[in-house]
Amino acid sequence: MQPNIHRSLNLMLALFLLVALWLGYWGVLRAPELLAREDNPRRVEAERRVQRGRVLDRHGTPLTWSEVDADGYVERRYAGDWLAHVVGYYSLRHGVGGIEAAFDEQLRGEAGRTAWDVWRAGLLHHTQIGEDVQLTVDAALQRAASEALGKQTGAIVLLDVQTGGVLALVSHPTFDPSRLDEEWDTLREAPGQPLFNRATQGLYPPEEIFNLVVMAAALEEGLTAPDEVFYDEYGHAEVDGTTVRCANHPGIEALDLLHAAAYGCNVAFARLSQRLGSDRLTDYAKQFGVDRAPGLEIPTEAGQLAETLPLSPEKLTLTGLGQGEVLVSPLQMALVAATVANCGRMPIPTLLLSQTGPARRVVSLETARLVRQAMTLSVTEGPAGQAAVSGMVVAGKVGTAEAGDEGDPHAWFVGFAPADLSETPRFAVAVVVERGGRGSQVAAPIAAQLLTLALAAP
Amino acid sequence: MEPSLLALAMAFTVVGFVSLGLVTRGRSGLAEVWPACVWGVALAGAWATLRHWHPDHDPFLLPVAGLLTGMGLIMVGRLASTFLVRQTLWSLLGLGAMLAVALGLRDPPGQISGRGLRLLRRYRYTWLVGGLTLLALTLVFGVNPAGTGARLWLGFGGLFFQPSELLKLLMVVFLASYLAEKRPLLAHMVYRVGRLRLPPLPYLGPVLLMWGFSLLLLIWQRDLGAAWLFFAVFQLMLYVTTGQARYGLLGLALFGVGALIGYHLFYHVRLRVDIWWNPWAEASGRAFQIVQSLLAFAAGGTVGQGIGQGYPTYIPVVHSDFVFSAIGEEWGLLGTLGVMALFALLVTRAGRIAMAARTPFRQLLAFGLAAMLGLQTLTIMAGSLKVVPLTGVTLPFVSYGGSSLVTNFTLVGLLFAIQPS
Repeated sequence: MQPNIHRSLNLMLALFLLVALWLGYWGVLRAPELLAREDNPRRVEAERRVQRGRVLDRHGTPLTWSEVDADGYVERRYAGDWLAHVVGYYSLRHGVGGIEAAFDEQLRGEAGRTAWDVWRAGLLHHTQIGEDVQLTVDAALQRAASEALGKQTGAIVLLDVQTGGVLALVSHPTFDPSRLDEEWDTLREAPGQPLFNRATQGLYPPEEIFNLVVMAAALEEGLTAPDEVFYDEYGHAEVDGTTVRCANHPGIEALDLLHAAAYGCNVAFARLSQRLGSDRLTDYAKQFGVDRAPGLEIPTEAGQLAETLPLSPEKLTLTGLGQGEVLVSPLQMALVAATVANCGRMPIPTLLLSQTGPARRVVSLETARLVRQAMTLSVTEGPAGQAAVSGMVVAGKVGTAEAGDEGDPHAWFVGFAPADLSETPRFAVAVVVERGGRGSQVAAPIAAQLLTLALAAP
Repeated sequence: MEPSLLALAMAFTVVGFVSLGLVTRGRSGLAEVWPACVWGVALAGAWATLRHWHPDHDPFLLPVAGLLTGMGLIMVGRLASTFLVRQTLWSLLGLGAMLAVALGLRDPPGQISGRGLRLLRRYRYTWLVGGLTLLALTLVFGVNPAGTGARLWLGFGGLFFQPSELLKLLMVVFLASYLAEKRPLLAHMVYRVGRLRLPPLPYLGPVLLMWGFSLLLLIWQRDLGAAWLFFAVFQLMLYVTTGQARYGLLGLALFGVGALIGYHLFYHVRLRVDIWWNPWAEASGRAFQIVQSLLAFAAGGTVGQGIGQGYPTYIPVVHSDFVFSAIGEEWGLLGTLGVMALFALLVTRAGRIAMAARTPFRQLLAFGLAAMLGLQTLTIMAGSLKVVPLTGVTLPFVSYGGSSLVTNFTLVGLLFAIQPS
């Protein structure tokens, strides 16, 4: 019997060996693939213990931070719903958005880690602690911008003219990133699309705001001069087969270039557009970045000039008036205002405080100065009067964009301050209120409120 | 050598509890380490008793079983700490049962064949009937301490006992006795029907009886694991007795038929086979347990996450059926291979006792016990690694479960008793 026992024991030991090989198969060979599975609870467990870094405003005020409970689980906290479209959100279920997405690696503390660091931290179960990210945003201004917009649908962008730093970026309706998981389904289906960032991705017809681009282009090309007088006796005129109406006709028959721009005289700008022609108009619009998505750290959308180029004479007129197929985002228009303010150089927009890029020359100093004068006139005696700030010269331009056939138009304001020729402008702003009414009555006061606060800060 | 091995086992248990306490509670006082102390003292006491009354006992069995039990205590403390007191008590009870069996049934010094083992051999039908009666009682009065699931336990005032565990041992005793007696007939007589060589039909009876009995367990108790173990151990013992592999083939064929019938008739058999064949399709449903088990092995990798630092508790009933996966996650490949080596050592030592035994009954008994231990270990390990379909059996000494602990220590006690003193 002993040989039989011996053989049977060997059989069992062989089976032990087989099981040992299987241990290596699942535990080592197939391990990476298994651990990457969606249903591996360890991934969520590890994720819930990552202490993400804070996002700070330009003064070091935390906008979002991580709270660790007794079990080591981390809860992400946000200062409020007024920063949602800048800071974004972080959710186990729905991923990341905004700055939380753009600097995810850094906030998770995974930027620049070697494989050795990762392995060692895993072996020793080190808590993953992320780095902070400091933004150009000013918490007080951001909050004030959100409050100024209130329950209205729209967007506000406030830029530092010199650096291109975003001081405030608001899109309404907004959401509370702390409550994203609970409210996700509602937010997804809400008619106002609160998750959509109108400031960087919302596209609107610019209307009179586009005068800035056309005026700058015509001056650069020597097609007009400040002393040119435009006659507009009736508030409408025939320009190359298209009847052009002046919505903001001040009741003056003759306007010089600066006043025509200040009031947004459509007759004057239709003529300037025709002088420029399709190629030069689109070329300058591109110079002002209308067809490109601005390079910000969070997603932005490119505007649109026309569906087909070159423009027919009728389309050219409409495009020059900021109607037709032209669509722009509030961020893009804030950058146009900043370009005028910054002596014709367009700053590179950024949300990151440590980031500085060279400004790009778009138009000459002289052109920028004339456009600035026109914008100042618009506030001092033109339709943008409600943007005025006491004790300070403000440059501005209002727009009222038809939004489809029914309902109120979109209200626009773009501008900057201080705009006195002896001073260096600091803040550029763009405000859009969807279906808010006239730009002069709805958008301009919001800008005034925000500029007052910004200029009052030390 | 045995004292130093025992010291290693104790040291391992103490270190395990110290680190578990530090990881989970941030301290390691007596409140955290007491099970290791109790177990260390008990092991030392058992060793002293054995050395005095049975000096020639195998020096590996007690340290290895002691180490595995210590590991089991650590894992119960880690995975289901509310059961820790109970598991410690059962361990002590197991040690007592081992000593009682080893010392009560061993040959008195100088005698060739003592009364103790003869008792087992002679009254084999009594043991069998006794065991079957217990089993029959569970069919009627069986409960499940967890509330739902297979009702394999008998309860007496808060204590639960699983008769099929004890029956494993009684069955090995019965088979060893029966096969030892019928060995000459089984090994040499052959019936010829035409050109077909068949084993002697009258003695084929037990084969069919075992087959039927296993099926009965399967049908009435849904105890797949026990059914498979009874049948496999019997086949190995039959092979050892006769040396004829075709009994094994015949048994395999019968097993196949039984499995096929079971697969088609019973949902729980079909379920086990289906989720073994393709668990990924139902990873969050019916195959959740096995997929989580594989994830635990993967998470453990080579060196493991460290005691108390993985997430093995995502596996349902991890503390009994899936303790091997938990070891895989927290001690890694090093831990699991170590555990496998310990079991291989146990089986090898038991096999040595079988080969050195003086009578066929003793040889068969020791071998049967070795086979029972080895196959049960392989069954649950292979099950939790998706090598074979899962069957609910415990990992001897390590899994939570009183009946299993007492039975396996009794098994070691029987091995000691077989050794001459």
